[in-house]
Parts: sequence; C-alpha cells; structure tokens
Amino acid sequence: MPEAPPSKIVPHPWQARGSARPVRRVADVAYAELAVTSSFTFLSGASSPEELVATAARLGHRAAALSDANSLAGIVRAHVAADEAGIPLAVGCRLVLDAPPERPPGVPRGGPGTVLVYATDRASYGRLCRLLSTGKRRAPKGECALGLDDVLAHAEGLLAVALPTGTPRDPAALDAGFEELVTRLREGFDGDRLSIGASVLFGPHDRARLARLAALGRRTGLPLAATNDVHYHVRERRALQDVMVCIREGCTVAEAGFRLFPNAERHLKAPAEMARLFAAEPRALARSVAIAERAAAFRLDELRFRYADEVSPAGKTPMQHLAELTWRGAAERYPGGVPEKVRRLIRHEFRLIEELEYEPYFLTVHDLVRFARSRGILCQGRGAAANSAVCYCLGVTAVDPDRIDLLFERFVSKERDEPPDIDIDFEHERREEVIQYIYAKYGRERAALTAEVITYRARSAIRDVGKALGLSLDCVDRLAKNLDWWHSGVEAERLRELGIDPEEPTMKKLLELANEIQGFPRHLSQHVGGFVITQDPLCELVPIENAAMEGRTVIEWDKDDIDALGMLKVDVLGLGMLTCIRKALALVNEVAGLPRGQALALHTIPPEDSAVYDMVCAADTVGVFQIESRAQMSMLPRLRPREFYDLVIEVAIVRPGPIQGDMVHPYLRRRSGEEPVSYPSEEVRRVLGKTLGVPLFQEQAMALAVVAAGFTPGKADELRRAMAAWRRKGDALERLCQELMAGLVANGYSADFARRLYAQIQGFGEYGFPESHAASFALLVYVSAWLKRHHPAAFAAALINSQPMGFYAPAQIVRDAREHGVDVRPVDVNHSSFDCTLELDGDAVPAVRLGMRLVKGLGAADADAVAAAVAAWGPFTTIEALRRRSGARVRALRRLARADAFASMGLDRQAALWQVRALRDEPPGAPGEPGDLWGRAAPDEPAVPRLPEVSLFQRVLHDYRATTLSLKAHPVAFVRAHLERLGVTPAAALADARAFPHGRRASVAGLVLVRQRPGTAKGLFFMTLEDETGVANLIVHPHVFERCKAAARHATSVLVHGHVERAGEVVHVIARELESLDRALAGMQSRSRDFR
Amino acid sequence: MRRFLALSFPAFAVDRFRRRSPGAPPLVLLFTVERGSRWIAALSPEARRLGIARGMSLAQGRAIAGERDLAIEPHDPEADRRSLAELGAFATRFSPAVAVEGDAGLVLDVSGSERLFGGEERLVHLVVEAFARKGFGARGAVAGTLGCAFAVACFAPRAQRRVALRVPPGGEAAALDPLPVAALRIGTDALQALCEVGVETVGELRALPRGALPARFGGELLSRLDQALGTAFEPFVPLRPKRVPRRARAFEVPVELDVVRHAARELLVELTTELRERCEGACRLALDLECAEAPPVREELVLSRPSRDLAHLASLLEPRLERAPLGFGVLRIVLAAPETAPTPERQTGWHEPAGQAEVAEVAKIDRPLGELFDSLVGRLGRAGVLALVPVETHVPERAFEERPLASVETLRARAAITGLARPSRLFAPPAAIEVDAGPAGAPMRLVRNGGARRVLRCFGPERIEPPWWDAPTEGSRDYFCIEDDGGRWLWVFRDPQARWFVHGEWT
Repeated sequence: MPEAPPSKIVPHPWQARGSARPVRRVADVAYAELAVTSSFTFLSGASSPEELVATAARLGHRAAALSDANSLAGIVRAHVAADEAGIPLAVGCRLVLDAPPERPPGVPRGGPGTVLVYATDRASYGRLCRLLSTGKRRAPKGECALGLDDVLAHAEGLLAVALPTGTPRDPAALDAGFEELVTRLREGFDGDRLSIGASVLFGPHDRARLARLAALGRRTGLPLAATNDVHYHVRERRALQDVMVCIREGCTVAEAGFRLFPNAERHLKAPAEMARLFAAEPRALARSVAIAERAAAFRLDELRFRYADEVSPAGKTPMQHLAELTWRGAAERYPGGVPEKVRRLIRHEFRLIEELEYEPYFLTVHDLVRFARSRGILCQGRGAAANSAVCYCLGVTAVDPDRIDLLFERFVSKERDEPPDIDIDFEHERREEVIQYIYAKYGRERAALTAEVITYRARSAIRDVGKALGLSLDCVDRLAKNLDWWHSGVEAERLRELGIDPEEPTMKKLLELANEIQGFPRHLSQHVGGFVITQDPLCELVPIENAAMEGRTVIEWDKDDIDALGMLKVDVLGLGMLTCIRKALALVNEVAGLPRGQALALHTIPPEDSAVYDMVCAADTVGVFQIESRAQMSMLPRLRPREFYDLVIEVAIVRPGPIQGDMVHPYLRRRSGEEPVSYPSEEVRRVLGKTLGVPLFQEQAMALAVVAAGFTPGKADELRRAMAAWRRKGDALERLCQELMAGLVANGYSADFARRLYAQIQGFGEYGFPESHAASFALLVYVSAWLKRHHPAAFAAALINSQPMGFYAPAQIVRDAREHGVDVRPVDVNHSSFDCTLELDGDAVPAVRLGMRLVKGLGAADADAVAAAVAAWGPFTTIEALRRRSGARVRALRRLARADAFASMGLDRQAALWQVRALRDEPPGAPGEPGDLWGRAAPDEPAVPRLPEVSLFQRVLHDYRATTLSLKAHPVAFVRAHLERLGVTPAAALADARAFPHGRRASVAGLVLVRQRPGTAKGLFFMTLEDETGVANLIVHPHVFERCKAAARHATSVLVHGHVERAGEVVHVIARELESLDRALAGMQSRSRDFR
Repeated sequence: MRRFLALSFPAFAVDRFRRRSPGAPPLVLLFTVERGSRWIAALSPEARRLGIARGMSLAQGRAIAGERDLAIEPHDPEADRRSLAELGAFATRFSPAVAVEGDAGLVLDVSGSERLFGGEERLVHLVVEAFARKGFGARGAVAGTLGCAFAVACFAPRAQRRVALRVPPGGEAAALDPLPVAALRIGTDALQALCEVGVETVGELRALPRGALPARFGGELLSRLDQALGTAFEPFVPLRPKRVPRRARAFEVPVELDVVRHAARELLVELTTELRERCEGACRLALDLECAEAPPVREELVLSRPSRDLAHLASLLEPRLERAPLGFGVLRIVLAAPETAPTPERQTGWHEPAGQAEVAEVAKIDRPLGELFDSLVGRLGRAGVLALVPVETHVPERAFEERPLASVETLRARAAITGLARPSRLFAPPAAIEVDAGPAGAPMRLVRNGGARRVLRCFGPERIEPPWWDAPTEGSRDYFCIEDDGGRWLWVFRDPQARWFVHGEWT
C-alpha cells in the first residue's frame, strides 16, 4: 500500500462520552477467545457483538475478538463496545473457503476450509477488506466466493488460525484436506503468524482429537491455539441459537437433528475453565492470547477517512474554490446585493469549514447538485444542511438564511466534530441517473451505498420463531397478523380470544424467544441513498458487496457504524414532488411560450401570495406536498397558516411525534388566543417564542436542555441523537430524559413543566422534525400550493404524470381539477401523448388532455409510437391506418380501445374493439412502410355492425377498469335511487351545518379512497369515501371495525350508517354500521344477471 | 334422431368435499395456492350467499365469514376429475353411452332409451334425483345436440330450474338465444372479447354477421355455435371403464385342494401373461373360491411393489390356499388383479452405462428384498414386520425408531451416518449405579448390581443436552465410555444432580 498522505484523523465521536473508563479486571489465567461468531453471521450467532465483547471483558479475557463468517459487518459495534468496556479488540473474520461449484470465471482454485484471520495493522486490515470485497463482488448478494489462493495473495501482515474439519464418518480423525490446507497456508503465512485452532466442546472424542491436532502441530511446526467456537455469550442462548439455525435451514427444531449442536458449550468461558479443558495442551491458551494481543495492536479508529478531493480545479486550494463558488452563488441568490446578515453567516461558516477541513465535502455535494442541474433534474437539500448559508448559496438547499434563523452549529459543530450529514432530494424518477453518475465519477472502489441492517421486528420474530417451533402456519399467521396483543399488557386475554392458550409451554417458549430475537440482524440491505465517497480505495476501508439491485454496490456498515468512525455520507434521496414540480413548471412554460430567460422556475415563484394561503386555509389542498393528507387537511382550517413560517409549523406539527407529545392542542389554543402564552423564564421565551411556548422542533428541545437544564451543548447533541435513534436505543433516551428532568427541577422549573417537556421529547422519538428540515419541506409545500392555485391544469397534469406518488389516485386528482374549473379531456389516440398534456384552443385557461399513461397495461413505447405517428401524419380516421403508420402492436391498440380512446375516429369503445379485434400484427419487417399505401387511401374497413346497447353505467365501469377513472359519470350515481330509498345522504350535503348539525344521524355511501389506521390514533380506523357529489371522512371505532371487518377492510365501496361530528369546518361521520356495496354495484354490471 | 341428456354439477368440488366429511359446516371454502397466496377456488352456495366469491383471497373470505364456522381445504382438481369419471360410470345405468364434459359435467346419449324411463322429462328427474341421493346437486336438460343440452343445463335462468328442461327437437336456436354466450363452451379470451363489444347472449351473437366472427373471436366460436345448433357435427366420446385382469374356472363337481392348486397356477399363468402384455404388474391379487356347503372364501394379497413374477406370486398364493377352509370342495375359482401399476420391461444388457449401474444395483437388491418382505407379510401379517429406522437426533435413546415396514422404500431411507461412539446395546431405562468420581469428574469405581468394579480406562465426557423444546425438566448428561476390571465396556452418564446411570454396553 502506498504511503498514506498526511490527513486528519477523525477521532471516534463516541469515545468522548465515557471519559472515565471502567477499571477492567483481568483473570489470573491468560486467555482470549478468538473464534467468535456474532449475530452478524446471520442466523448463526445468537449474541450481538456488544454482548460478546462485554462478556469477554467481564470474564477477564485479555482481549475480545470478533470473527464473523466472511464479514466485518459487526466490527464497528464490537469496536465501540470494546472501547466502552476498556478491553482490546482483535479485528478479524472467519474465512469460509468454499468456492461455489459453478466457479465464476476468474475465481482461483483452492480446496474448502475455514481460517480465522486477524489484522495486525492498517495495511493488513486494508488487505483483509480488499480480500472480502473481491470475494463478495464476484458472488451474488450476501455470498462470498473465496479460494485459498485469494487468501494467500492477501496474506501479508494477517494472523491466521486454521480450523480443522472432521470427516463425517469419524469426527475424531482429521480430514486429509486439513493437513493440505495447513501446508498450503504455510506458503503465505510464516510459522509465527499461523496456528492450528483446537477446541474442546464435549464431543465424543475430544481427547483423541486434541492429541491428533497436537501431533499435526508437531509435524508441521505449528502451535495450537485454543478456541471455543463461540456462537453466543452465555449458555442460556442455546435455544435461540437452535431456533436461528432452524430459520436458516427452513426446518423445525424437531426436524433439525444434527444441524443443531448437541450441547450448549459454545459460549464464552472463563479462562480458568478453558485452562481445565486444555490441561493436556496448556500452551494453546498462551498462543491465543499472543494472537489476540498482536491483533489488538490495530485499532479501528486508526482508519483515516479522506474526502474525495478532485473536486477543486488545479492550482486552487479547495477552500479558495469553495469560497469562489459560494460568493458567485450568493450573487445569483441575492441580485440586489448580499444582505449583511448573510455575509456574516457565510464568513462564520467558512471559518468552521476551513478549520475542520470539510471543504471537499461541500464541493462534492455541490458537484452532485451541479450535475443534476446540468441534466435538468430538480433537487433540493433537506435536513440539517438547510441550516447552512453556504449550502444555500451553493444551491444545495433552498431555505433563505435571510428569512429563517439558521443554526449552523446544528449542522457542523466544532465541539461535536462529527461529519455533517447532507441529505439531498432528487426527482424520484431520475435519482438513478445521479447514483450512476457517482459510481462513474469515483468508481466502484471509492464510492458505495451504505448498508441498512434489517433486524427482527415483532411480526417477523413471531413468524420465524413460530415456524421454527413447528407451530401451524395458520396459528403463526393469526399471531403475526394480530400483533396488538403483544406488549399491550393484556396478552393472555387477547391470546385466548385468538384461540391460543398462553400457558401452553410452546407458546411460552415462542413469546420468550421472539422477545429475545427482536433487534437481531436478519440480513443487510441497502440504505435508501446514503453514499460514502472516499479519496483512498473504499474497499480497503470496509468490505463492499453487491446489492440485490442491478448496478449497485454496498458497504457492509450501516449509518451508525460510519457515524461512529467519522465517515462522510451524502444521502441521495428521491422525492416525487420534485418530479411533479419540474413537470408542472415545464407545462406552464410551454403553454405560456415564455422565452428561456423569463421562464417560471422554482426560485422565481413569487413568495407570500395571500391567494395561496386562502386556498390552504380552506383545506383545498388535494395534491399539495405534505399537507394533502386527511390529518393535515383537518388541521389547516384550525391552524389557518398566513405566512411561510406557519407552513413550517404545519409541516412539523401534524406528525406522530408532536401528536403523541401532546403539543398540537396547546399550540392551537394559544394560536387562537384561547390560552395565554406564558413562559416559565426569559431563557425559555427566547427558545420557544416563535412557537408560542410549545417545543415543536428538535433544535428547540436541544436548546431548552442547554438553557434550562444546564446541559452542555455536547450533551444536548447526545439527546438529539438519542431522539433520532430512539427505536434502536430506547434506554439511552430514557436515561438522558431523567437527567434532563433532574436538571430542570434543579434550575427551579416546576415539576409539571419538566414532566411536560419530558413527554414532548419522548414524542420526538417518533419522527420529530428538525426545524431546518421542516423549512425545506415547507418551501415545497408553498411551491406546490402556488402551482395548484395559479396553474391548476398544469399542476393536475404534472401530478398524474409523476404517479405513483402522494396520497391521491388519478381519479381524485382529475375530480379535484374539474371542481376547480379545469376542463379535463379523455384519452384519445389523435390528441393524447403518453403523458398528460395541456391543450390551449384559444381559451385563456388551458385544458388537461389525459395521457395514454393512464391506459392500463399500455407501454410507453407503443404510446410514443402512436403519438409520433399522429404528429407526423395528422389525425387518423381508421385504426388500421394508425396501426400501419405507427407500428403499434395490436395488443396496445386493444388496450387503447378498451380505454375508449378512439372517439375522434367516431368509434365508441365497442366499435373500436370490434375493429381492433380483426387486426393482426404484421410479421416483423418495416412497420409503417408506405408500400401499397402510397398515394392510396387506406383500404376500407367494413362498417361496424349494429352492436348491442350498453348502458352508461356499464361504460363507466369499463372506463374505471381500463383507466382507473371515468369522465362520464361517477359509479355511485347509478345506485343513487336505491341509496335514497335507504336514506343515504350525498356526501356534499354533509357540509350543510343546519341540515346536519353535530350529533345528527347520517348515512353515506361511496367508493373507498383511503383506509388508514395510524398508530397514534388509539386503534381508530379512518376511511375516506367518494360519491358523485364529493368526499366524506369516516371514523370507525375499534369495536365497529371488529364487527364489520369484512366491509371495513376489503370492500371497494361501502354504505355507512352513523352520526355527524363537527369541529369547526371539519366534518366526520362516526360509523356505527358498515356494509359492503360491492354486490349492489356488481349486480348492475350485467344485463344477464339472472344467470349463474 | 339423437337426443342428449346433459348434467351440470354447479358445486361439484364442494359436494365431493361434503361427502368425504359429512359433519362439515355449511360454509365451505376450497382454495388453491398461486403467487404465494391462497385463493378461493370453489365454495358452497351458503358461502356465496354471504358475499364470498371465487377468486377472492382466502383471507378475505375468512374476514367475510367472521365468527361463523368454516371448513377450509385445498382444492384438488385431479381428484375431482377422477371422481367425475366414477360418477360417469354410475350414470351408465341410465344409458350405455356417457361422456365427461368439462370439469363438472356429464352428457348421456339417451337416443331411444328415454322410453325405458317414461319420457325425457321423467328421465331428467330420475337422473337428477339419483345424483342427489349420492350427494351431488345436479341440473339436467335434454336436447337434440350435446352443446345445446349442456348450455341449457348450466345456464337456464333461475326461474326455469324447477321444471325438467327439455328442448323439443328443432328448438335449439330458440332455447339458446336468451342464454349468455358463456353457455357455448368457448375460451375465456373469446368470452372477454365478446363481452367487450357488448355481446352477452347467444341471440346477440347470432345477429352479428357470421363472416366477421372468426377473424375477431377465433374459429372455435363459430364451430361451437354450429355444434350447439346442430348444424355442425360434434364427436361424442363415451367413457370406457378400465378392465380388471381377471380369470375364472368353474368345476362341474366340487374339487379337492390338488385340483384347486393346479387351477390356481394355470389362472396365475394366464393373469401374468395378460399383465405382461399390458406392461403392468399387480399391486393386489384377489382370489375368490366358491365352496360347496361352506361360505365363499376371499384371499387378498397386497404386494410391496407391482409384480408379475409367476414364481413369486405363486409362492405367496399357495400358502393361502392351503390354509383356506374349502368345505366339501371348490366349485369355482376366480383370480383377479384389482389394482395394477405400469412396470415397463427393462432390458438389461452386458453393458450398463455408468450412471445406471447403481440404479441396477439397487434394483438387484430391491427385488429379492421385496419378495422377502411380501413373504414375511404374507406369513406374519403387516403389523408383524417392523423396520428399525435411524432418526436424526442427539438423544441416544431416540436415535432409532421401530416403524411398521410399509414398503421396501422405508428400508432404504437412512438418516445421516452419525459417526458417534454408541454402544451396541442400550438399556431402557438407564439403570442407576453408584460411582466414585475422580477430581476431574471421571468415574474411578462403580457399584452395579451389588458388585463393585474398578474403572480401568475411561473416555469422555461427551455432553448431550436434552431437546429444550419438549423435555424441559431433564438436564444435560455427561457420558463416559469406561472399561471396568471385569473387562466390560460400559456407557455411563452423570445427570446434573450428580446421579449416575449406566445406559449401554458394548458387547
């Protein structure tokens, strides 16, 4: 490895926390366990790295080690745990050499075998990573194809312990292949670095086997090293380990037989016990200690992480380049001159960036943004980066530092000295372009996605453990689907209701084991978009493997791991609304025919338009980013946002966190003036003033902790981390919150205030928003609302063109557009493109022409071919002519006919289908070749015979089937007479407060648009119905849901009896009885319904 | 003039299920597994009335049924087909020519035979009732074409179902016109295409220009239509029941055992010859003897593998004959092979390709083994022949199971070879002994049956932990193999309470 250029060592951030290391007791007998399989050898090891390391320390081992099979995935966790316990750690892995039978080209030969290897320094660690990356890159995801030759090629500096295998017929004997393996390993490892692993595991032939190994050692001149083949930290984990093996093997414990270990001896043992087991070979223990201590000389925090730095042009320092780009950007952002406040901020940020050497990182991010812009891909930074004025000037984020107070320290802080985390949203349809740009620019060796550890959750735990215990599939299903019984305190009773006896021993075991397995990793997946980019080869820093997705490579470490090692990551995320906004802007500009310079763009949208806020206050927000959900819509009339910051609050407040922390109602009362705004102290007023005394943002919780509870900023940041990682590390948050309460009370705040704050911070555990993040989102809320208000046609078309995204299906988007006076025209081959387009025939208001993308099953290629032919040859009058000119396949034409898209040819759906049915694809040749068409009209198509009449209702249903919507009518309208007899009210009538006051009985019916059961709503089930007059929102209480489950859960249309609940302008129907309308609707579908 | 009686069984699969499980609740769902989830393939009318439908997911069906009692079972179309063929055989009592139509229909050619039953209407009633007694709900109709009869049987409007359906000769078109096009037995593609252009009934279809149809809806449509109308020929392929190989001899006077034995031998020769011609072997043999002044004798042989080996079959049959109570002699002897299976003749040459050598080897062992097995079963009865089957488990006393030897295949099933040191004899249960253990826990001296023995050599411990999932009270055992001064090798263990047991011995 070339001499590493001097660079900054990023110290381990978690180190700073525990300043007082525990005094570690070391056992009298020297021993260190080398063969340690943790839960990161998926479904094999039954203890976490943390448990293993802590136990090794407790037992007084000289060092801890981790050696997962072909993986370093758990090593960072072990490293952090070892630092906390104050025990040295040997970094290594277990190489399972078992090249697959069908050897991919380039995989060298070499017999099977198992070798433990440990790094002794940075260089050998790099080689180990490179070795694993090589093996993983040539195998499918999750596998590793390594041969002995690969190991020998990377052997320098590594310590190896060859693990013997037995022959199946006589386990006492050593496999002949083992001696060969040892001999071959001697080629790469000198006697000093190679040992023979021996273990005494209470098998039938331990003594004989140990003697044979010793003899082999004498023959080859290699010492024995004692190991205990550890798979769990304490013997009590045996049951869990057995279950994991069964999950892996897909069998039950009763069937597993010899796949399970015969006893529980594979746990970490006390050194004295190991000495007793190895009484015959006492030197083997000393050898293990020697290996572990040599390996522990390498510490994981020696890894130097250098940002990729080819982003600055030659002759300029990165800082100069960054400054130049920033000031140039600032000039563009503020054409009227950069405000002094912003200048000050930028200079402040420059100082910190330079000091912490983060320039290349900012430049990297800028480069991504520049690339995206050059391709016309919209992007916008979110999260903490929005706190940076530099990021704003670089065009990474869009929150104007002049308008919002920023807290740069939340993003980059000297004291925390942790790499900043920049998340950038790109258009969801084009994110892959950016990802491939990164791979292409930095290469697979230097850039990869971070991993995401998929762990067992309650449902998967019950499912897998239940299966392994041999419960019937039916029973496992029932348990897994009705998980609310778990942790709810009334387990036993609920279980009995499900017909399961909780006292039954297997059930007890199931609950116990399922509890234990939760949080254990199951496999590695890829992070949504977190990229690690390095200057030095990344594959020498961490093993890289293939992802399940074609063209992606992933490192073995997750977000927490790279955080712990201080590595930089850029989150390349996808956001549907950006796609929609770009498309809407393009449509607006196209219709307006504006020249490039004056075209409407994201940053030229006029701010603070009161018409937009009027619309938002009226909850007229179908399709608007973030505030289109039912919960948001019911909040809008109460919150009545009038300015940008209100939108920031709106985005942040209707989240599970603030709802559970009980922040919503106090805020609303204070805003409407029903409750006085008071602050327990002046410091608190400064922090909470802008949110009327209610902490809504993470930053506020941090600041409160500092000013009111006497936390240091470092500790406050720890609090923030704990909030974010609450799910995984609940106890850390608990501990900090206790400290916080104690601090508050000590500083003279009332216990009541402390308790409330505590509850609110706990609420943040569930997706609390940082302010900067909410501000970034609020910007998109404003932009999309502005587009909807001023260009409803373009907005609706763009929404449909960006599907799937958001809350609403095309049918609701179209309906909403029509309610706003937009003329929506049906799909037609002579007028539609693949996407929805705007049509402007002299009117001031453009109409939406639905695109062929709405036609189910129609590919973009065929749609484009049709559109191109129409563009080139003018409108067609026969289907056959269209087929010949466009070369579209008959299958595609048939789908278009089903969608009733030939109306401009004078053909209704039936007639078009009649015609299309007679067409055949031409044999592959030159489609659309004019040949016999030259100069001649298309051959006459025979007239369509008189086809049977089809009712309007039928035609509407066919529309729904072919395009998921109908412009002709709403299906519920056809059963209206029947519904009226049942006393059903049209949805729109509910708005009339005099006819339907609070508490009045009412019945509504319609198609089910949305079903929701938020975790925050105490089991309430929400439904939104649509009929021909509008939508109605239902609330279904759990007991009603249980009673009418079939209709509530499965029906596509329902009839509801209940009563009206009014809160201001918000109207709900509280359901008392639900029934499915599906059969009533289906019954009308066929004239021949008396048959069958 | 031909007349056809068509029968449709609208809930065939469910009726069949009901017959198998008479106590089942009225709600029945039969499901298939597709794309990883379970879908309803057939259901009882009671379930349909609740709003459950074919093609729903099983979960949805369950949700609709709610708390009501449900019978849920996998759908087995193969068994349905077999069962339908059996019903066809049953229907031959009404007409010699019976054909299976589709998945749940039968067609009887009743040309002329209706007179035996008092007219067509009455015949329909009789047939439907006969099937109802067997537990199958059927709808029937008679018409001049197979297609028309079937269409009317399946699709007659609900109002007409109570009356027996009879389409008068020449009335096919009128009967078909109001029926849905699905009644024409056409593929789903054509059905969907017709539905799309709005054509729902046969009448609407007939109103369309004939010439335009094949290009749009496939050639099958017209031919099906014409077959139903009687303007095109439709083949009628009656079921032919499979013949059981069977040979009989009658004697004019009662004969003695010697003659019977000789006759049986001759019958066996004829039977095996027939089996060879059919390339089959017998799975069962049935021998019926009609005796003078004694009840008839029936001897049944069940064979471990299909066989037509004369010597083997004879060796099984003869002991049975000798033991049979023949009274004053035998009047008639019948030998049949009620169950047969194909056994292709395999040519064995001097050269066997490498891969097949092993197969041949197995076959070489299998045959004598199978014959031995048949003879043992013949003499000792099925329950009298057991096999020791190795079981994959670490617990020594469970490592083998005695199982009734159902077939030779069980013998070949072997668990993985363990390679563990296990004694040749296990004591059940292990016997308690007293042991003086050394400092490391290894036994030094043991007292067994009152006699004290010194331990000369000792290996171990091997620690075996009981399966935690079904023996929660037992603790782990530490096993030692020891040689005592009497020269015996014993397998002893210590339990967690430090009690000692001897579990086995190498003899």
